[in-house]
Amino acid sequence: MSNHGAEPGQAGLRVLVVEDEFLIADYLVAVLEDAGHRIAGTAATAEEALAILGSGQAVDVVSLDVKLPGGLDGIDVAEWLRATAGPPFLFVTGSGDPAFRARCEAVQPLAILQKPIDPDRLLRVLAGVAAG
Amino acid sequence: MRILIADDDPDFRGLASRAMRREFEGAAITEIGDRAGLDAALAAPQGPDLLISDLSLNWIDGFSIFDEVRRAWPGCVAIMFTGTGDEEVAVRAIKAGFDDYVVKSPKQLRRLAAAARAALTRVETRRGLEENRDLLTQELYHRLHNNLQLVVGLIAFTARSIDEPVARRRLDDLGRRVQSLSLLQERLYRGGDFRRVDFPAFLGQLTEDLIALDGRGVATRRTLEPRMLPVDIAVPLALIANELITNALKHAVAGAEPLVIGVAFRSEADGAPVLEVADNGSGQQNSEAGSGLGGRLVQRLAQQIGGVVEVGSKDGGGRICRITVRNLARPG
Repeated sequence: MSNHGAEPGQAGLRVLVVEDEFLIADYLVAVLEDAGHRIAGTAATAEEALAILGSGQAVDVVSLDVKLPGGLDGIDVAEWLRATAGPPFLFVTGSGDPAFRARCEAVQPLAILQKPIDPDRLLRVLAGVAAG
Repeated sequence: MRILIADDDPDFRGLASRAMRREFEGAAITEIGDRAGLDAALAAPQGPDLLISDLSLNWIDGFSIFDEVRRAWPGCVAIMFTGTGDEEVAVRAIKAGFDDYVVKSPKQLRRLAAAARAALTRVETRRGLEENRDLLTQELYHRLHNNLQLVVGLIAFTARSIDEPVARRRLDDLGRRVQSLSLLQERLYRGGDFRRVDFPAFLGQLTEDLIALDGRGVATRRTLEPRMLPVDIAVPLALIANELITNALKHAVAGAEPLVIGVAFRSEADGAPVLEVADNGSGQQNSEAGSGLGGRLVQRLAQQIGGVVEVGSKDGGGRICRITVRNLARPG
């Protein structure tokens, strides 16, 4: 266990939001904060996300955009999380390509949410994490 | 590079083999002169890239060889190489799907090689274009959904910035309308057929999402008969369903009985699809599918698809709204 062992406090889960579109990231943050979750950080690239995850910052769950600028994508981050027994994660993706979906499913996310996401479905996934 | 050469005449097979070997360095060439040879080639784990076949063989004709090879390997390029044909045979060969037709004679071997090279290049180009098209479709889809997400986000931000509750609710309604269209769009893409969509699957998902958004844990009774709908009917009907279910949730207030929303999609005997949304609520019955923006949208969209709107009260309270899409009824 790295850094997600701590029980989330009353204020909900500490969520890392990985999304390269800033307005979409802001929207996700607003949805999460409205529901009482806290933002552990936001990252616009896989590299930024890995830096935050590697910094010892407490993260309970990671919301991952799949397509990200730069060399690495959301699936790479997911694989790293799997390999290091990091916090659980879910994908938020605009892609509907079946082959792509299969790649997402292979890393066993909590969920694959299609953009535009239904905020309630996102919150239900997180409620599942909070319930353990 | 794997090449099949089917011809009864071993001399010609040899000549064609040499010509192919010169044109395609390192090619694996299989000469076929009888049924056993063809069967062995068909049973090979890897298919050929190119078939060169004569028209008349003692044991089969070139068209049958072509059919058998193509059935096993649809991507195989095929050239008819024959001396016994005429213009009619050439036309028939091209119509059957041969990539080219070359008159058989030792002088034509160079032409055969050039024809093979050209046909393979054409097929490669076509495959490249198809791959490009698939990539483009995926890219557009990705863009579309990202942009829809931006629109939903922008509407939500705007709603948050407004204090006036009615205006804010209207913006939330708008966000829901966009979201329901996105949901249908996703079904459309996932189905792989861009002209028809699994409407009941969409309707089930939409109902679930709206019930969850409502947050009261309202029970549903769903009767969804499988049916694919053409997209020009599905889009308006999806928006109608969104209005009716949202409305049922808004106006239905639980009375003595726990609140249940019924959502049904079925087909009349004449094939007309029917969408039905019912509630057993005791709240103020806004018996308008006709007043307010939601009602107007339902009326206009129903008109567009030849939909007949019926609104009725249910025995023991509650309301039922039914849209029958007459445009998809069989003419009787």
